[in-house]
Amino acid sequence: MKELLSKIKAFFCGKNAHAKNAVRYFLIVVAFLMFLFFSNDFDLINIQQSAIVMAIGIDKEEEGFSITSQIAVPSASSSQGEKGSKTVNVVTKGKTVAQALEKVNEKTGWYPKLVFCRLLVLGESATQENVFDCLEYFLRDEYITDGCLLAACDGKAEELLSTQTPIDASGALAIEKVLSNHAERVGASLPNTLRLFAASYFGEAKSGFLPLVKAEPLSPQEQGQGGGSESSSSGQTGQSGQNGEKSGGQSGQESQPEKVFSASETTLFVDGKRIGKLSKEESFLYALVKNQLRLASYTLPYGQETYTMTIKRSSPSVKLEVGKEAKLTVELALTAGVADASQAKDLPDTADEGDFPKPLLQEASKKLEEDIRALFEKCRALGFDLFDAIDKLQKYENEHFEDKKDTLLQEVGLSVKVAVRGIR
Amino acid sequence: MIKDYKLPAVNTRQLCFLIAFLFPIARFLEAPRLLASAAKGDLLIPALLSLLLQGASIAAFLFLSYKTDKTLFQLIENALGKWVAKAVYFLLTAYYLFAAVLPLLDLEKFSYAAFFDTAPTTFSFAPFFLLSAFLCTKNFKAVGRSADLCLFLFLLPFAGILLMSIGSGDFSSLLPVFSEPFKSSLKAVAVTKPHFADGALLLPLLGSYKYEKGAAKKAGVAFAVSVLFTLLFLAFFYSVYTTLSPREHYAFAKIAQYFPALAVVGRIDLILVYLLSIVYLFYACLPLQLAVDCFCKAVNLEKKGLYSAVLHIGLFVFVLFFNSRYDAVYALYSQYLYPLFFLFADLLPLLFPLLLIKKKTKAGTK
Amino acid sequence: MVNKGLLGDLIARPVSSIRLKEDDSTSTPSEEKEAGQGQMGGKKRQNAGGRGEVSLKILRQNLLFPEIKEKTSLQEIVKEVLDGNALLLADGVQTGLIIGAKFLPVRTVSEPPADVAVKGPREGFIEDFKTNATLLRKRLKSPALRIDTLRAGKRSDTVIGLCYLDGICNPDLREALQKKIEHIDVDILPDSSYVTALIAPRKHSIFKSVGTTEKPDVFAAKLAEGRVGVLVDGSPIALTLPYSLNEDFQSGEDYFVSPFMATIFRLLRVVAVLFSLFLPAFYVSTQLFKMQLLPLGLTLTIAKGGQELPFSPSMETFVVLLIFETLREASIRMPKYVGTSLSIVGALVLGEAAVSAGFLSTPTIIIVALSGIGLYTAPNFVETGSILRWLYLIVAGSLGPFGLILAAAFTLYYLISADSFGMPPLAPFAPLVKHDLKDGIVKYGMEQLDERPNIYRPQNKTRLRTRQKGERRDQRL
Repeated sequence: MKELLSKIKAFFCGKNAHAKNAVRYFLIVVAFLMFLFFSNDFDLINIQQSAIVMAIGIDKEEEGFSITSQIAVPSASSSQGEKGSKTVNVVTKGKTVAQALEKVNEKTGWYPKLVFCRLLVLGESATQENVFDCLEYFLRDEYITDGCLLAACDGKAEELLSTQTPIDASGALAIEKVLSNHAERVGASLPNTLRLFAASYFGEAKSGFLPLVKAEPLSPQEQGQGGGSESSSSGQTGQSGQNGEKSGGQSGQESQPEKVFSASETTLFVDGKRIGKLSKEESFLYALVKNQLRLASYTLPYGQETYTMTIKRSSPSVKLEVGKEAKLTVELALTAGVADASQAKDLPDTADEGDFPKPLLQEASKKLEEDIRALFEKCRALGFDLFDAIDKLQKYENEHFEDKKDTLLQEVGLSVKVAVRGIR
Repeated sequence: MIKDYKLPAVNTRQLCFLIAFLFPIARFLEAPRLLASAAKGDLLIPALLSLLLQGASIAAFLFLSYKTDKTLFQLIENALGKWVAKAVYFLLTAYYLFAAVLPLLDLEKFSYAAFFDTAPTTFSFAPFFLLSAFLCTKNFKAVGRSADLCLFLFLLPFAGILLMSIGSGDFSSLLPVFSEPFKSSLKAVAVTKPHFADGALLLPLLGSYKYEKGAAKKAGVAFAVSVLFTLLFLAFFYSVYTTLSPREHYAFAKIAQYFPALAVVGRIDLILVYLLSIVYLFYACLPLQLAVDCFCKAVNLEKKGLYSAVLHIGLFVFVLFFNSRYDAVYALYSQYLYPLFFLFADLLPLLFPLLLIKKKTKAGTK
Repeated sequence: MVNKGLLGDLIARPVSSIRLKEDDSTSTPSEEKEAGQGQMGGKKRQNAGGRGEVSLKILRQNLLFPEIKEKTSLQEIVKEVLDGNALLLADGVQTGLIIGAKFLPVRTVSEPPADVAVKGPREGFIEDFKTNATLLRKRLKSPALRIDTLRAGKRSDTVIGLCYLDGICNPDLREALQKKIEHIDVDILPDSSYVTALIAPRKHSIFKSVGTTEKPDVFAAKLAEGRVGVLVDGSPIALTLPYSLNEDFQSGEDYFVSPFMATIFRLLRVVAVLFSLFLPAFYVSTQLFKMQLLPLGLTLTIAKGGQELPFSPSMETFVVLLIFETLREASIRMPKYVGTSLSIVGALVLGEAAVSAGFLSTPTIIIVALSGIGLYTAPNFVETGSILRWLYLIVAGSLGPFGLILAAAFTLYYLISADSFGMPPLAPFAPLVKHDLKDGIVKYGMEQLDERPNIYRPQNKTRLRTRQKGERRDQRL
């Protein structure tokens, strides 16, 4: 024993122990690593064993959740890139979202990896109750980014994700396009992410919004063009599996009409529950006062004509003042040009984005002011804090916060000033 | 062989880099979450308080190194005798081991989240102990040079991460300042004390670091930089996560992920995170290096290899046992054991200069 | 080994004329015979000694050969003869005359194949020590250039030249190196790499501890920076010490192009080498442990490529890298005339056919090829880089990116603590030597490099004087 101890001591502490044993250390470490490298099966789930989940649709059912996972299937025979990848929609059910997702593995043999999941779609049923009943899992899980897009839909999320579209091979990627940064910048939609939605839910106002994604049929002409093209998407509801679960298959997909997605409407949430909806025009107004838009289009009637303005830049500012009475001041500065008019103009005025007639500018300002006020009143009635007044109260008028936080939304006055400046 | 040119193991530049580029990393992982959960938007206030305390420890260290060239062991030995010096070194060994636990557990959990797609086995973390055991056999010269490396490994990724996350942040979420009661800030100071206890990490460097002219000024600047980095990071973190901050683990691995271009090019922010992880690895190993050094000095052992190996086998067993009790260990540290960090990281460095006074009195009586 | 023509013309003929003169003198053959026998001892020896000295003088006066050394020790004489020199022994003369008429087969000075420069000198060292010393002296015509000749190798008795600039080079370094070389006790020293292995402070390190170059201009420049150089007879590769890893990313050409271009080249080399070390490892890691490192489209493309392969992603990369290393090794060893066939076999058969047959995937081949090429941007780092690449690949395949980061941290920490000859390999980055960063990855212009690098602790720091005494910077033209 003593000898052994002294040998061990010499091994670690002897004169030039490291130098003497360097080769031994090296061999031991390399042998160990080679063993790991070649055996390579320590609960590893490699790329071939993974289901790369691109989007998830969540529907609430009586006994839990129905989850539609849109999985990218790399196909050696298809063309390169995302577009050539097939997608499969796997529908699983469980009492919790986690349980339902685990069943993907049971049904397909693939382990679902959510690292590339960039879209969560909440079905109508899921939004009737607190949506965080189903979003909790995605906030907890460190392996899914909370930067993924979050959207709501009318009807079932499963159906939305199974929609065939000529825009992209995968429904999820097509939806992502209508929720892109560009769509946000031009005011075509109001995208939101899980992080931002959760932050507003846990904030003081507890108000949040989600874009409402819809699948709309193509026009007959478009359908004629798109219908002929073969889509590699296989998202559809097919055969019934165990416990009423369904998995995507190839059959029947050709018979489904192709559709395009839009997200121009917005759903409003308070305390995690859907409380209302903004129309396309209202959503645009909300985008106008919320974001700095670029190259957005706004159409308004003026006299006998209809004008379409290109909003080059919008600079919104919302201020809250709490004196005797609380007052929200919304100032919106727009720089716009004429994109088109319904009646032909004289030659000089037809130059690229010709001069804005001054009365038209005033009319636009007036109409926008009215519309914004109407939108605010609508949201106030729903209990939705459109201008983050409570948040502003907490940040900038904190001394009044405790007194006013519960009544502010009902009491606050609104002043809207819209200044539209013409630009050539 | 070539003469060592009588250069100190750690020079002023390296000391400054330790303070400016190595120590802040301790506050980038779990501290932001803990600060936000206790102080919410006021998280910068407790951070600043903790940093000021740390600044006092650093000042005490500089004062000691200005006054004496002796090592801490020699200093205690001269003032209080050899056995007291040994006892203090045993205590310091215990403290460094104790202080190493949280960074170790944090690192383990962080590695599972940032380096894997699916939760791996605990054995995936085991190779860390090989690295740590190796580092523990090295002397303070290597520690100093690792600080030099941290300049590159820290600055570039740190700047990159902040730049990538700036667009996702809402800095107004930090308002209003002092919205939370001061008690919350004090609570946050206590809860995050293990993450702001770097003052004690400098003590064993005494004697290896020789005070140079102007060092206090340079260290002051380095400390200011360290404070700036910490506060800047915390501000970015809270602006990105706002109300979600109290539940966001592994702060530095996450805040850059919302950069829009990443959807096109992949998570290249992870490359920056991995580079910062190397700095965190060095940081997590530092208390262990100091523990090994203090122990070897206390028992007069020249070769550190055996002790380092035994220690790391023990640590591995510890991690195996405690990784499922992560929250319990955290609660234990932040609710009950944090006074120990105040004692060793803040109070002790301030007490050591008294040894110099005592020595003077002794000399006077002679 | 001896130039007979020269010996005949410059030694034999003059010697025969001495004989004729001596015949005319008073000395008789019988007296000379006595003198010769006198060596046996006693009084006669003294006389004979006297006579012998006279003869030596006459001999030396008459010999026309320029390189003649007098040697009395039998051991030294044997050494010289074994070196290839001629020995002239004259009857009655106690001293042997070593005629430096050695004529060894040497190749001509040519451009070293492994260190090609588009701009700048193209001369390279050869296997002959004297030629190499001459090439060096040609560039450093300074009395401060010292070439201390040492010998090592029991059987080979190889000449080792310790080259340095007196007054610039750190004497501690020189002494330490001299001691190390003097302590070499080995049978033969066929090449300078033996010297490297024998003097290296860390014998088991995969990192070099000695710099190498085949170019006299680079060698001279390194000596001028304060390093010590070692020339070994029989080797075209000169050694320079101390060595820092940074050197491998510098090229002689960097100093002949604009500093901007040099900086770009250096950055390119660093990036290429880092890519080459980590790319296969990260590629494997992404497929096994962390897919997020790649964008979704690329992940799917890789997944497509690897779908029907018989190997796991890690195994596949291992195999492709093995094929690459085999081809590389074969292409170096293979006779030149079959080299073309090898390229065809490598590119077509092993690449194209393996993909078509479904053994390997295209992305893996691209990754390994990129990695393989990248390493050659720093030719002196190839050996180390190749080992590191294997190591990182194995670590990545076993432990994923976390293992890779641990391995990188381990490598870095090893490098900051692995001093050789007082020089940390990662200098001037760790320890940070601000002054020397001017010739690190970023290269400054000539004027900014007016002082020698601090890391070599030179005795004289000034390298370039751009101003006269008392002249201000703004007064210069």
